[in-house]
Amino acid sequence: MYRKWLVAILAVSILSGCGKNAAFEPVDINTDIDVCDVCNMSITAVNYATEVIMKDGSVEKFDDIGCMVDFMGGATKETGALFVRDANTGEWIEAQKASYLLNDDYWTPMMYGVISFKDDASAELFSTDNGEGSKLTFDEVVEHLGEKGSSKH
Amino acid sequence: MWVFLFLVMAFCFSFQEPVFAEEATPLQPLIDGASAGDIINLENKTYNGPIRIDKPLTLQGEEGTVIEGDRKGDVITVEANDVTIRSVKINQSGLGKQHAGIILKKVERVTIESNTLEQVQNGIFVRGGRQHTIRDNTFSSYDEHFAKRGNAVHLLATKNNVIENNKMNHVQDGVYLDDATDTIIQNNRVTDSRYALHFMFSREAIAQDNQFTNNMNGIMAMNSEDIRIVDNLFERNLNYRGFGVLIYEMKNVDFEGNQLLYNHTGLEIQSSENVIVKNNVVAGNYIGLASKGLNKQVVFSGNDMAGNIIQAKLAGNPIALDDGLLGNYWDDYRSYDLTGNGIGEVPYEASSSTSDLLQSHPHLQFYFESPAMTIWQSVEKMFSNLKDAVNIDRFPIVK
Repeated sequence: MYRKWLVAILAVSILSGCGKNAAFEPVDINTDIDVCDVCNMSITAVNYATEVIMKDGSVEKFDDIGCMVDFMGGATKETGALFVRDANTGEWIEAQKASYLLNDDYWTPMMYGVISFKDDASAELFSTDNGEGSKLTFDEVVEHLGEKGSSKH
Repeated sequence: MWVFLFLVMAFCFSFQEPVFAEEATPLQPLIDGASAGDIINLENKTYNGPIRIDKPLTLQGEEGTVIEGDRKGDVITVEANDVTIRSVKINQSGLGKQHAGIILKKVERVTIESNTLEQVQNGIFVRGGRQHTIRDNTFSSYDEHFAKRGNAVHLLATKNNVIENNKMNHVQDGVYLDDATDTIIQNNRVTDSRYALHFMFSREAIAQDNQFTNNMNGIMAMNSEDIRIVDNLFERNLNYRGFGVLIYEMKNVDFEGNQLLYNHTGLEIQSSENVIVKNNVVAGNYIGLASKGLNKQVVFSGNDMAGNIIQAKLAGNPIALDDGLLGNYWDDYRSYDLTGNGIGEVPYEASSSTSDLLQSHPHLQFYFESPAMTIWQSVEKMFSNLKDAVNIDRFPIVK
């Protein structure tokens, strides 16, 4: 009797574990040693950092979402999860679920001008202080930055 | 006895006056009362900022003159042309990312000399405008990790500026150039910071006779063009991801007469075009020269490569290690100059099995310059097989 329940609980927990990206967690940024895997710049503006966790568990870190998009274009390994941060709080968010603002006058480490937020409210808070930006989804960010390349001026 | 002691102490404390700093003098009224072209001589005391200068004038301090901010924003805002700020100590800017000791807002011909800027987020923030001179100043930021500090001098969308004879210590970047045109940076000393110089999307700059030591990178040069880097010293930039100089997506760089000593990587060239590296000393680095990505028209000649644990770590497409007539001096080159013209008869191969081995097994560095390693290298040279060597110096210098 108990065994049946035990098996059921085990099955449920395993299955629910599979459903999520539980294996792919963002990794803390260490400002002493972390540099962007694309442009080599040290990651000091930590709330603008992004990460790609590969299926093999390796982590690629970037100082600017533009560098992450650049990296995705030539990625040789399969990606597990993509993370960006809320620019106001530093909270990690899955890239697909985040809100984005674009304004070429926004300062970002590599001047791509795209900033990520956990939700629209957080984005609005930022634009009150730093000027309006156009709202983008992650797919639009990828499309925009993919065309743009790394030159601002 | 105890009662007596208690009474004495109570007596002492009751008469102990709290010590206040000398009352600070507001400075803005002095500026508002001055006429254009005036020289305001400040005394040996502390003046209250923040202040706004909206007419051409000179602020001149003496020993002990301090202009103190309120830790909320910029300390001195300059909104007029032809302003001079000389011999004052400026401190207590706000801690926000863009706050500065002095901010120049779209103005021309401002001179900032012989000042001390400390406990400020950024030292001097130049926003737009042109023809400023920043010389003989001393800078340091707040006592925070470099990720939270600002830059000593931050140039944004500005041109024709001279930055010379300054000392910058404990800041994020010494001079950060963003969209800056025609900048002269000479005789500065930058220490204990992230990058001494940081080029972003800038053009036409000369960096000469500077000393950059104990930073993460001496120069981080990114996405800029027409940059001359000559006669500088890059020493002990030893962060394990640090460089004496990193040239990334750059165009038209002249890198001559510099000394790159005891850095993690001396010089790295990545995805750049038309980079001339001549007559430099690259010595005592963990990696002397590194390259990555697609580099076009890179010439490397007349350089002294000595005492580097790994001489060259060259990835990406091959780069020329001689200019067609002259190569470089490599201290691990073992051959003879039979013709007596100062050039070895056998080409130098920049990547060897020993350096490959050291890269894949760093702990073997322990045997660097040991008899075993030297014999191995000699044997390798004797039986060298150049067929797949893409990075070779055809004219290695023999001394």
